[in-house]
Amino acid sequence: MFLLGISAFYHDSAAALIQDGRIVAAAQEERFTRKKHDPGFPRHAIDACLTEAGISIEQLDRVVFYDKPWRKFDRLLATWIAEAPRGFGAFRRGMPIWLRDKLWTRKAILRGLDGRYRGRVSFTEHHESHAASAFYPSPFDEAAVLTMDGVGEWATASIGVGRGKRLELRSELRFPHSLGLLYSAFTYFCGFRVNSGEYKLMGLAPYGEPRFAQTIMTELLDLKEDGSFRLDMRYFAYTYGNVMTSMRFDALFGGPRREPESEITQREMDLAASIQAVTEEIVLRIARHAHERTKLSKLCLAGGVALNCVANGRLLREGPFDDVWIQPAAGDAGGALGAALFVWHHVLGNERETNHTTDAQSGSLLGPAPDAEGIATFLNGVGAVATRYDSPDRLAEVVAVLLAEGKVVGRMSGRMEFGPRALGNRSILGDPRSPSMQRTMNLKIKFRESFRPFAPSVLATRAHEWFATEPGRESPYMLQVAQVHASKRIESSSDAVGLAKLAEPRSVIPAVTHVDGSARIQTVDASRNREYRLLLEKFEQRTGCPAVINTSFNVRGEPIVCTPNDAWRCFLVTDMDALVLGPFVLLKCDQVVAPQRERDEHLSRFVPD
Amino acid sequence: MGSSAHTTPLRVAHGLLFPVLAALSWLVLATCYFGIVLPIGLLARLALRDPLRRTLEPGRESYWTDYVPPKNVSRYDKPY
Repeated sequence: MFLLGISAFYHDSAAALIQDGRIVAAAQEERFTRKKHDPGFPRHAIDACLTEAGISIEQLDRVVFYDKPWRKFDRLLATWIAEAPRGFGAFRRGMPIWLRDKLWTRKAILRGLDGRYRGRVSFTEHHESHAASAFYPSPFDEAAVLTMDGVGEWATASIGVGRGKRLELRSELRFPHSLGLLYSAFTYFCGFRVNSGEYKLMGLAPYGEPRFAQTIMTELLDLKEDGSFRLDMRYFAYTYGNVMTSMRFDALFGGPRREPESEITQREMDLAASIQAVTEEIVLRIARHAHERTKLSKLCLAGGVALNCVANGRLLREGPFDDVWIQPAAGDAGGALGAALFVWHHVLGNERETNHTTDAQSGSLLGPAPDAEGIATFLNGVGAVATRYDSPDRLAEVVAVLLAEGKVVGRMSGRMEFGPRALGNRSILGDPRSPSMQRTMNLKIKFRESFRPFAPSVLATRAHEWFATEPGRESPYMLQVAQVHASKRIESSSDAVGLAKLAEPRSVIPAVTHVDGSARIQTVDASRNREYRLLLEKFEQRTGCPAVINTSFNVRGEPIVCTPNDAWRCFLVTDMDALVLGPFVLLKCDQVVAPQRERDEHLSRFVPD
Repeated sequence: MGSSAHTTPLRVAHGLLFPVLAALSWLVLATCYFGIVLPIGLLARLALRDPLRRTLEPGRESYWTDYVPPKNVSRYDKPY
């Protein structure tokens, strides 16, 4: 029985296909349309899922949408009523879209499927979808489930319990009181794009001091011991305007928001550090409350806030749970997967099996994979000079040599990742030992701000020797932050503040060590990605270092590459040295380099976040 | 040629109609907002009811609210 889950019409549209409860495929629409966070109907993603399964639309047994649009509309109506008369702008912008499109989601889905699907369309609640995406693929038989995001229908956070095939939510916080929206308000205030630039804010935090944390706690929130809270809405404008914060917010934090793309000052760094500290405190309190309520030792986590890997790291180290599993597509894209799994297990009552050790997410490598012959045809078509290595061992050896020589290598191989993180198959790789690599990769390859940190992929068996993690503790989805191991650290002796901290190496792998000595680690093992593991092994044999820099294969503002053509274009317009496309290796020095005009054109297509 | 000659008048007509339709749409929305939404909002305020529950309650122990599950699974076939 095939169930198709869909998330769409807000941001990060996606599709996921399950067969008898097994995840067959999942993908985000943005990868195909090349529009970041594409909110449109995910027809390309659906087609990719169906192709993977070898079925047609007519063979689908059930389609499930990831939220309840009418309840969302109910929340909008209540908000307009509560804020009248100052919300006319929001009403004028929102009402026509809802009346024309969003209320008629069932029709939109049937239309999007060309009228070829004649079965039932189900609707799960937004936080049920998140919760299901966290619990059902996890390796746990039973677990507490925690979801936190901006907002779904009304809920902004929820606590539940998953047990076998059953998943029950128990309590919730409701709009407008939202941890996700609080974080987004600071993202906006610091000049980054909401629903996109939150990662930048998190990356900026270690450069600042949390000098505003107390102000946030006392002025913006009424926070309870159990992590529940209400926001003082006089400081926020998202209930009535098209901005996140009010003038009162400006006054509290010493002036208006930072203009996007303008210089980042110490104030933004301190604000980032402050909201990060507050977020971690709230997450920890909620987790303790969830533990007290459920008395369970395992936790599953999803919702956009679960992408805050710094908070996740603290939750693992300081939280009350023995183990935590986080859905790698924790944002709305993952709702597509959760919606389908929820209907299969909870609504249709089908049993669920776990093996207690490995999750059912398949390394989140759930997207399409290009085949070698297709790549060969493409490369011939564009006149690329490439060398084919049919032996995975030899291919890994060649790439490891390039990396050890300080080359930056784009790798597109195997199935595409589902979720916002590149996990090796659509990644740009580099040598983490190089002191200049972070700056080079940020400015010449990603074309993004120099403060942005890079993450390491590390052999799972070596992770505890290089990072402060327990032996055997996995982080396969790059969702946890840990300190670089003390034996690899270089003690700092300077008094540098702000971005000046960047100049000083903090460890023997400086390119993946953030200024606070932390790293967002991805552990790599053979069961999830055999070829990528082989590459890391070869790199270790050559250098003694079992880690490489892993950053997503894209430039600033661009969705991660999906096809060989996307990868080829990105390779040509950046200063990347080599490209791995399946079994092919391409060196930049062998290709005709794109003229500057072409580079500029490519970069201008993507809006910075 | 034929196609271009055909579409040009349509484009002109659309160009002329667009501001009229936009103004009409604005008028209808303003009527709904100030004629329905605003009065309901004012009445709610008079009755001291806030659908968003924005008031801070420092004396309260918790803001968690109980989740109300659907009564039966047929609810999952509905968009509400």
